[in-house]
Amino acid sequence: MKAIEIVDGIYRIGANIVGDYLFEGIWTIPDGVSLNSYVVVGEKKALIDLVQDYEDVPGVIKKQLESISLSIEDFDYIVINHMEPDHSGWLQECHRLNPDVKIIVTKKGAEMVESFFGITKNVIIVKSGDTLDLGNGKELLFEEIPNVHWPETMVTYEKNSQILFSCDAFGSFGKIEDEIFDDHISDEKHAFFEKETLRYFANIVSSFSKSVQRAIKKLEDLSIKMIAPSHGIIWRENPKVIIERYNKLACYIDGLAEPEITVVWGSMYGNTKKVLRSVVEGIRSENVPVHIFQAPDDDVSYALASAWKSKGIVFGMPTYEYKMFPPIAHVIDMFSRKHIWNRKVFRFGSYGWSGGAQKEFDSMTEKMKWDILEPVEWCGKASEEDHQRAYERGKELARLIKSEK
Amino acid sequence: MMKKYVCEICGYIYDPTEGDPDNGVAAGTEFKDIPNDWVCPECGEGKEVFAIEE
Repeated sequence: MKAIEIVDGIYRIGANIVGDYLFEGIWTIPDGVSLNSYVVVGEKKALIDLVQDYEDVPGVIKKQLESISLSIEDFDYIVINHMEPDHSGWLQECHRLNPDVKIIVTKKGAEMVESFFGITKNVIIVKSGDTLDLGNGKELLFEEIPNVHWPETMVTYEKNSQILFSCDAFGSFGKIEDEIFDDHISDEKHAFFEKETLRYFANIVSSFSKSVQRAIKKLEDLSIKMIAPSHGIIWRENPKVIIERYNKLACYIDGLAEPEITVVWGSMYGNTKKVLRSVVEGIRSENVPVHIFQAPDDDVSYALASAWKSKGIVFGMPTYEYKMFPPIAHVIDMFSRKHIWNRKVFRFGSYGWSGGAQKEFDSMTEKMKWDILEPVEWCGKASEEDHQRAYERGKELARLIKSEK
Repeated sequence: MMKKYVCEICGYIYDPTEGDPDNGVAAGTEFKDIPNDWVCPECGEGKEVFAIEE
């Protein structure tokens, strides 16, 4: 990958993290993730968002800087839109190599620069509406967008080129090859990034959906020609696509999701598994798409993405030692943390003697604003009648979802 | 009794008996009487993301 001039005097430099790595220590990224950094050259020079100090990522970036005859010592400013270490980790080394560089952050960002890196000198605090004139027709404007993704987060806008450097906002999983623009990639690649944007949103941003909505509203006043996020492709042909996509994804928090159903199931000895087919047949009889995930076998990252998009969720799990089957309890806990709220839901599953899963399920999901249908439970092996009830409940949920506008 | 409100982004609870004196909201201020430009002291979000704490 090389430094790419995106407009006169503004460059994208970047690296991919690929392989056996968990993003945030949690999320699988089999297709990698890109870390994008931006160089703005006026009379003064600014670097917008850094990269993670992971393996040879800083080395890759340094080489790209060299290719445009720059090194970290040449910069007057480093703008840190967001302090999460995938964008700030390299700051320690940058500051060591160039102690005079001024670090531009929000007030909360400055506190983090101190607590993460012990840096207090040459830290400049900015707030919404503040500008920084770099000379030569390059002027940066800062806008705070708290909680997209952390409370200190802001975006940077270059007034002349009308590029929005949005950091995590409008970002996506998925590595980037040499094609970095929306108008250069194939339809297939667009479909890939659409999927990876959903998964990124559901895994990283979903619990801050209200903040995303507020940020999008706030940015409406800016005339945006290009969106240059710090993960994923640059949107210049049609930046509206990614804004609208993010807006739609944020609205899912209110249950305004797609008329689809996500089923997450786990089974100990097969008594719950056998009923899965009846539930799915019931859903399909109403022509509602259904996406099936097994716990713990399938990575929760994908179940989250699917559930975020779906109006309906079904959990299949037995009682395990008077409580929920633990792998599904983990999935529900994750759904709760990620604010998968306002969904239509039911649970099916077996028990060996007294049950107990449903009781824990009800109490664990109490605050998730779920509309929960009557569960389908049975002792031991499901009878024909139990299968029929499961089929009917699947059908009922599918109908409910279709009828809702 | 005056109602507490919870920030649905970060979980901060606004307790009217304590107010938020660091940010100009005196103890005893009901949530509805807080100025509209007040933001959550933890995460910076506005009043609209708060819900009644049940």
